[in-house]
Amino acid sequence: MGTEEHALLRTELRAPLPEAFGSLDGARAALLADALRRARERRLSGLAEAVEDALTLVPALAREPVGRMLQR
Amino acid sequence: MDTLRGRAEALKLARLLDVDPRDLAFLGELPADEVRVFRERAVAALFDDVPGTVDRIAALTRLLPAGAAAAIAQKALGPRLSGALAGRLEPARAADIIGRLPAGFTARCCHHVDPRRIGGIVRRLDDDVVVRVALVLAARGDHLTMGRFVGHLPDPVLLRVLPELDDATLLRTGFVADHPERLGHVVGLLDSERLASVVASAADEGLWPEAMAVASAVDGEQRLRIASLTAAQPEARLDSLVRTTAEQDLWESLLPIVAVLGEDELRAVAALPSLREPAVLDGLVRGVVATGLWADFLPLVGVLPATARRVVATAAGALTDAELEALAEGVEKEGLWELVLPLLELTDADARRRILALPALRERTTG
Repeated sequence: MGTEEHALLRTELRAPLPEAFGSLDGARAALLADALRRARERRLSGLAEAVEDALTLVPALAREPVGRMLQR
Repeated sequence: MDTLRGRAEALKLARLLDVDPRDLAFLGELPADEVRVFRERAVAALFDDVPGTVDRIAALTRLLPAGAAAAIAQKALGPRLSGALAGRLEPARAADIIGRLPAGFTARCCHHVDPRRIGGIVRRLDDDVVVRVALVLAARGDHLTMGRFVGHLPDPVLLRVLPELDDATLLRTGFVADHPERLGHVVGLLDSERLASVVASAADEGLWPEAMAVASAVDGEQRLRIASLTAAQPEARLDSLVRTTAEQDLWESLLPIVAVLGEDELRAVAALPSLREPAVLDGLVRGVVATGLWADFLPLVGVLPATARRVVATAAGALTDAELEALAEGVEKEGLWELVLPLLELTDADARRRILALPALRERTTG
């Protein structure tokens, strides 16, 4: 469980790896780490996009203050 | 059982991470329980990472009447953001808002709700709402999301939903259920006619692995019901179960189900054409060697036709010394020598000599 890829997977998981995951080769550990990172990025960007879309429905005059209030 | 649970866990993780399940097929080599733990930690890693904006919208939502919040969710926020918000609100408040949304919209939100919050929300929803949403999810073929919910559904909801779902949906949802320990209870709500129909569909729709996973997840009376209704299927269907098991090497799942059958039912299984084929029987013996399921396997061998028993004996005789040692240890542990000794008569002289030379058997004959 000592490879760079396993350390990366632990970082992306934000928790210790279950023991058996130490037996994965580096390429597979890297694949999982990459999938986790991408899933998190997609989720966060999807939520940010949904907030932006919702703001377009706020009347133009109020949009900026509402946006600032949500982003602060 | 572990192979099928491993497949289900890989499917669920692939859905969570939005990747092709085939890319995660290698997880089948790991213990299913550890893949489940990994998936649960991945859920936390993904859903605990919430932008402050979402929490601020959740705070604003608390200030609005539930009807207004529902209208805004549907018209402005969309399924992704609404699903995320449902996981950040108090379950009672989330349920109050969801109760005012159309089932179609709620169904689209379900996949985006933090799976850890589902039970608390579902418990507070009106049964009518849950039934409508479950039926929309079923119509969309979203078995993985249904699998997250099924363990949390109360009996009145299950009793209304189960008759509306087709057999394949039941099998596919049961296969990926997040709380398989609840499946015995769900199966108990199906009458024998429906359960027999589900078993027949497993054969007709190529869903034996899903059916075996469900049967493996339940025990006692419900496993016996599934096993008996399966054994009562026409020969062609039953034979397809054995062939699927052989092709996918799922003996570890099938044997514990066969083991609960009565003698007559066991004879029906033993008479199947597939269980006369050397390749199938050889794989079966190797599967038993790998899993140590001697107590589940040997009673079946006892009722196999003589020709099939001879094939099993030959396959056993071809095992390596280490595999024979494992066989002897398993048989000794389970006290099954009485079922093994008749097989010895069917092995060739060399195999018999090797088997009789096994320390466990030598100790037995000298002791």
